[in-house]
Amino acid sequence: MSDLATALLAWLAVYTYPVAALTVLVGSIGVPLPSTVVVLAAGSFTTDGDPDFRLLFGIILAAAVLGDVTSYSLGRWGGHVVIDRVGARIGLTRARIAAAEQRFERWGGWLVLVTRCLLTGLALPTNLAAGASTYPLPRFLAWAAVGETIWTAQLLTLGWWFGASWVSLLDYLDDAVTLLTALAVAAGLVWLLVRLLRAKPEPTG
Amino acid sequence: MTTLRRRPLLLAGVTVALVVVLLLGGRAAWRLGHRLLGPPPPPRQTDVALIADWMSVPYVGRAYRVPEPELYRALGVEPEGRRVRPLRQIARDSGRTSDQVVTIVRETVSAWQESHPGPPTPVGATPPPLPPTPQPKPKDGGPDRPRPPP
Repeated sequence: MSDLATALLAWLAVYTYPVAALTVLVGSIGVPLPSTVVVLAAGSFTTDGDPDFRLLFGIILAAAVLGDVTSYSLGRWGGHVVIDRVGARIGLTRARIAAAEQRFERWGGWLVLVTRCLLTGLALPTNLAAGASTYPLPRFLAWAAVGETIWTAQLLTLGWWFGASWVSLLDYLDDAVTLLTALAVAAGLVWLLVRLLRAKPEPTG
Repeated sequence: MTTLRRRPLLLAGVTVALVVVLLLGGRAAWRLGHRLLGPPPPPRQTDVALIADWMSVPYVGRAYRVPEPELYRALGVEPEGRRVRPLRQIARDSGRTSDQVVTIVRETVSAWQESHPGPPTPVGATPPPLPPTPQPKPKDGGPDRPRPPP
């Protein structure tokens, strides 16, 4: 258990609702906090009804969705700045950006959903990409709410079910999330590799 | 710089990244496989052997349903300023080893559990009901619309 997780769990035991909410909110914005650990532990505390499971669920869900919208907004605001300044230098032409936006428009919802509850390591880049593209906020919000509902419910329920022995789940979860994320990233890299091998060499600059 | 000149570098970079990602994924898969071959972690375990020195007194109190004052009394320290300190820090502050402090806490929890037996954990119990799941509202006919399972 890292020092950061130890400190957060100590505070969680004293101030469960605010610490759970703040950890999830700040973690969703991109600060590397052990949100999974905190939500599991919070769920384990609910076994005797204090804290209240449903209230805790609502607070964590609201914090997670708020964090997603914040990082989406950062992508919308900062994405254009980055593209305008360095886009041309890294090969982000208007045609490529338009194609990427079209793909995101088509598959973005599923991507947002899956990165909330399975490939959580890719949630932040997805939020930033959704914001930087023209993906509409209401649709992002709807998909993020569903994904975060699944994420919050599954972790709180696991914590509730395992009680004090929730700690023994951490290794399973770490490995499962690492494996799924590695598979997703590998699929993306293979796709990129194929495109690079097939592309005709044309001058761009 | 042209794509032609840059392509070998990009290819090399993507290939290296792919190898690294596959190695990380393979390592996680191997470890997960080994874990899944072993016995699953038991739910609602109140075995005091799980108490570790990273836990704080309020954490142990909540996780094992023991009043905090009992634990502070057993440790011989006041709660003021120590509620968010892990047991290892309490041990350091009081000139003891982590093992000594953890042992005291385990014995206190065991004694409390014996003198205050709680109701048995219902096997197959269901967690409290959750609020209804919000449904996404993609635009009509859009490709994002979730399809019902066949």
